Amino acid sequence: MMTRPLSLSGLRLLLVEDEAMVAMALEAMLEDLGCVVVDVAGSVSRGLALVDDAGLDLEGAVLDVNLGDGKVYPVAERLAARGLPFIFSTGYGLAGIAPDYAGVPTLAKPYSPKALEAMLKKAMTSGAPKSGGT
Amino acid sequence: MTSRTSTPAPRKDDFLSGGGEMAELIRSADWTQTALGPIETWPQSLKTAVSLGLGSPAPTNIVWGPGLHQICNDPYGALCGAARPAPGQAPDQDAAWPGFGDALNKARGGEAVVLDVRRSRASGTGAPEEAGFTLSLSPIRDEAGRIGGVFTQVIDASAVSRAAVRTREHLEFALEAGRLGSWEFDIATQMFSSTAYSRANFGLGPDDPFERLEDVVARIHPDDRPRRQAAIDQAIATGEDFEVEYRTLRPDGGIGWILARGRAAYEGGRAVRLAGISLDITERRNAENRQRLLLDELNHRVNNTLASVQSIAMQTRRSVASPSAFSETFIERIHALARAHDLLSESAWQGAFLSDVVARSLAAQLENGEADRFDVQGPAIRLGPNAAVTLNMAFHELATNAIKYGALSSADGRIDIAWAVDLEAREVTIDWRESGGPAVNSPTLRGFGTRLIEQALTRELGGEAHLTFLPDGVWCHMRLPLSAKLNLAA
Repeated sequence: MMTRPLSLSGLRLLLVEDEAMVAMALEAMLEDLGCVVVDVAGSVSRGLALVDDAGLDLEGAVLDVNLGDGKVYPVAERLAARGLPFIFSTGYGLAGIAPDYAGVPTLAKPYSPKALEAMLKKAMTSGAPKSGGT
Repeated sequence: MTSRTSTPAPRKDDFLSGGGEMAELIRSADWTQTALGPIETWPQSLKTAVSLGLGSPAPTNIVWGPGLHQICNDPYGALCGAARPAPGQAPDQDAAWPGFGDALNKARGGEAVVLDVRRSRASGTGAPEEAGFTLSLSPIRDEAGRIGGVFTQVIDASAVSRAAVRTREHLEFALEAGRLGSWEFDIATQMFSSTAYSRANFGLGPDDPFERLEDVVARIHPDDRPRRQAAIDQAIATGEDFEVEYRTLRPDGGIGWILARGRAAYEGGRAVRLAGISLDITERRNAENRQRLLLDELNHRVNNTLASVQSIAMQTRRSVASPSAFSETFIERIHALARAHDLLSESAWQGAFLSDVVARSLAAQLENGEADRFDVQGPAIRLGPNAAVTLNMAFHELATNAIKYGALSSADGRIDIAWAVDLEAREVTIDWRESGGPAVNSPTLRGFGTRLIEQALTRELGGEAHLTFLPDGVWCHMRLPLSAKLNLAA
């Protein structure tokens, strides 16, 4: 079956990552893929506020799992409720992902630009995971 | 008999030799006045019995003939103390051993009798103590096959049980010293018996139900029950020891860990009993968990650091003009990252002081003796690990720029770094002011430095930061909110 190659160009993304240097690398890679990084949140509370900001016209998100003020899952839940796709990034490996989100594409640190592109495309194609988790 | 002439005639009382004090008493007693008559006229069966009794290390006593003449050995005499029967004396029936009279009559009727007696006797310390004895009475038949007397042997049951008690005390001490619980399970009745430590290992006291199989199983984590049962079934089937670790549900709601070891005992090829020990290994398990968490944390940190290095490489490539400039700038930035890690290692990655981050960033650029080229002023601010890494990177960029192009590139320039905390606004204001240097136009500070300080840093920590290129030197102004990442030191 032929599928039209999915373009990430112009895709408006939120980045949630609590380490400035790491966020800069991811931001640069996303920009290389043609994405627009709308904003970067360094905490769960800031991430929730940005997801709720309708003015940002978000289309998806890249979420670091472990943030200084807790796990990123509340942000993931909010995104799922809004029907927005997302992928995780983590330094802990796949074992660190909650079972509720086992199907979400997860990018390991340090980042591979190819893996980032493939996972984003997968997430955009399959859409938001089911809301709630439980 | 011809033998009498060919061998030396045995002495009439040879059977008494080696019989101790009692043998001498027998030898010197005047038997002619008794129904037994002189020793040389005694029937061989009596002589043999006396010889046996006197030679026994256990207390023995012989009662012979219708006159019930007693002949005991030294151990028996010692047991009786002042009531030691003289050779030939009739027994005082039940006085020495309650029930002895009846037992003696039965034995004289041809029956072997065992009599258990409890009575007081002198202890090792001289004080009387209650002791248990077992008397074994056997009839002695004479040459004609009639019952001539009764042979009694006394077993000091207390001595036997004292040895058993000592063994048990040693065992209990070893179990307690090792905090080992000891348990036994009867397969037929499905009942457990267990020691206090065995219960304590489950967090249970003496009154908690812990006898029925279901009481014990209820204390085991449901997820671990099949694994424990499989280990026991395997041990019963093979006769081998089993060893299994499982979680317990403690009465306080906590989770404990038990190591149980045991084996089955068989009767007629069927397993009838399981017995073994249990050990509370909760602390060991917790330590293993902590170690696993630490390793996970280390893995996370290494991966994040690699991502930071990746970031530095990407940012550096974008902001330098030539490959040689890339190499120099990249290596300096990696060194700055390593400095932050060194600083954090000193506090076991709990965090770092802002003053240390600033001073070390500058010291790395300056020669010894140039410490007066900068001044750091401000209250003690504690940084979390991530904030320390990021601010360290920011001050590295500022310090590198200052030494290459800014205030520290000329002999007269200097830098003043000062911060103040506004408790009402819950924020800290940090100022980096260069003076006395040339006007600055640094390509990397304008590129990567500006991005890092004005965007990435404030996204991580909140607040705002501005980098201004003034004619007198660089001015960096940050207003950062107080948080867990950045706060006044307690």
